[in-house]
Amino acid sequence: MTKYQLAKLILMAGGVESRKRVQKTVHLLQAAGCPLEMDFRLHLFGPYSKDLASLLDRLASNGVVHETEDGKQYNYVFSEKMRESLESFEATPAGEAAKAEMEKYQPLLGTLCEPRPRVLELASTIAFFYQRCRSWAEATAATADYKDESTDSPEITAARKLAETVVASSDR
Amino acid sequence: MIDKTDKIFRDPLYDYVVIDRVDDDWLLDLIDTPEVQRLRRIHQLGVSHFTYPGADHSRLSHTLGVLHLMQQAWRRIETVGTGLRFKRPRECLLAAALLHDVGHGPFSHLSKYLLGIDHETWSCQIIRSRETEVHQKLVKYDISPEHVAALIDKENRDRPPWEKALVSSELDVDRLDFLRRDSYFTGAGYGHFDSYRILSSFSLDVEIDGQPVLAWPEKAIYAIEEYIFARFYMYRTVYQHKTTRGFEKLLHATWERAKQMHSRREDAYLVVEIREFLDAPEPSVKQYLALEDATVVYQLKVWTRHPDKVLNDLAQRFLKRDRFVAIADPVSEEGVCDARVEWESELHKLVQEKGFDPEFYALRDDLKLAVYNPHMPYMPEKEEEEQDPYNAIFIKLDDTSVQEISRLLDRLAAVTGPPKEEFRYYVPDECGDAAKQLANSRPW
Repeated sequence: MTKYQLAKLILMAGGVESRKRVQKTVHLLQAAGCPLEMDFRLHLFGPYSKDLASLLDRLASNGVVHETEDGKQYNYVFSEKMRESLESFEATPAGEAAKAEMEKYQPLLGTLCEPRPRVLELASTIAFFYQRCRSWAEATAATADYKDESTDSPEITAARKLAETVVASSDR
Repeated sequence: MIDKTDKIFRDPLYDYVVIDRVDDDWLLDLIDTPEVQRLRRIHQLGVSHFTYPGADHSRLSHTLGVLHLMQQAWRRIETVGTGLRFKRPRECLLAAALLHDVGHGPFSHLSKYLLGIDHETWSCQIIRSRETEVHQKLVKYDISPEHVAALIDKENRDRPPWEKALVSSELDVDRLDFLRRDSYFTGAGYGHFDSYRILSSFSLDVEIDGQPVLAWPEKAIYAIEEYIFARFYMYRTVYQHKTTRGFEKLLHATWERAKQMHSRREDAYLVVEIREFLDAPEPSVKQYLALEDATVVYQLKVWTRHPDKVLNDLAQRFLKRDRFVAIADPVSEEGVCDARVEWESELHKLVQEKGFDPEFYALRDDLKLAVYNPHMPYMPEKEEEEQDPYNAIFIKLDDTSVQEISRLLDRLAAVTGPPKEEFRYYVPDECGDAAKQLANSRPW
């Protein structure tokens, strides 16, 4: 994932509340086919990428995104000071292509901004298992087992629906 | 205390690595397998001996060190993990410690870039494959190869996190050994910390998301602080040393040239072991294990007789230790895009004008590529909701709660932040001065 892609994602989302949401959103966008190329591993709280955590911290320390700490969580908004840098990149041929690629995922990003973080975490975990076993029933059961949830709990049900929507969008 | 029946390995860090011949004869059998013995012929630090002449230690000595530390950790678990019951966890943990690096290829971590697959994947394949003696010995002693592989496999979550975290996490027996061992053999002087305190003070009674996790008492905080600083210093001075990285890039470029020729069906003079590996649609464990440091060194010697000027020259430069010159990244990190296109294009032009093919003679080293490299400094996740043993080191506050260590020691902020995005460029000595002038000629 490039600096531009992450900055653009945060801008398109109108800011992202919590690092958990950044992690799971990027993972789900990737599952939807967005070429972000991050290496995710399964942590206790679902798929997590150290590369992404490090990139996010670098964007914050360079002033590309503005980071605020809100008790337990960190929130990110695109820094307006960087708008000129972003727009001048988007005016180049490479930038134009990168912009078009990211903006294709604007509707899905809107969908991913809605659920509570826990549902996003479960959906991301279901998608992680699905990518390995290619069965929604198995992936849901594996997630329920891993997260100590019932397979028919409202949160797991909502998460599976979201994960299915995300993966289905990759086929379109 | 050493008994008459004990098998002793002398070790410069621990004096003795001791294996009880009565209770643990299976471990001695495992050490004697050809797959483990092969680790004698793999440099622990890749090509770092080009920079640090003492860094000739092998993967085997590190592996025995990790085994020794796991024995120590197990003694602690026997005290604090009384509620935890699993089938033969001791044997599986010791076997995982001994076998975690059995899949390392030539020049250790360098082989990931040469052969494209990380060593853990191969370690798991070697353990799972019925063809290997390692697998056969585990089965003979009723130790589940699947359980051992699951402890090493980063994708696998079948084993409890505390077991996996002992083998691989932000504070594991692997790092506890290699930091001190690499420090000792390079002579770099960093990498000192109280590993005895760390391994004799952790507990397993606090849970995160319903899972017991390794946590340390406040009395261990300074030993862990030293460990975190050691990671940072070793990363900056040894693991990212510009000369070492330059030879890694040179070897990589040589390899890429040969692969390019081979893919065009030109005769790249490949030695049989390398040719069979590259030609196999899915290389077998046997084909992989045939590759050792010596195979690559012999291949380089063969390439010095190759008529292709680039391949021949690159191989000669590597063997003669004729290093490329490192050029610091002249591009500032500001902005939202990588603004290196113009600088790199000018650098390539310069290298070409001097008569070299920039694809193989203007080498870019992207240091941030290595985030999952075990040599990276400690960079904890800072949001509590996303912290677990794989991205944080926990200090126990009371019977039910833990805190990530850098939250308790402000001074760790200096060494736990994300490393600056860093690139280096390597060019032949013949282009060095001109490339440095170009880098300093204007802001990029």
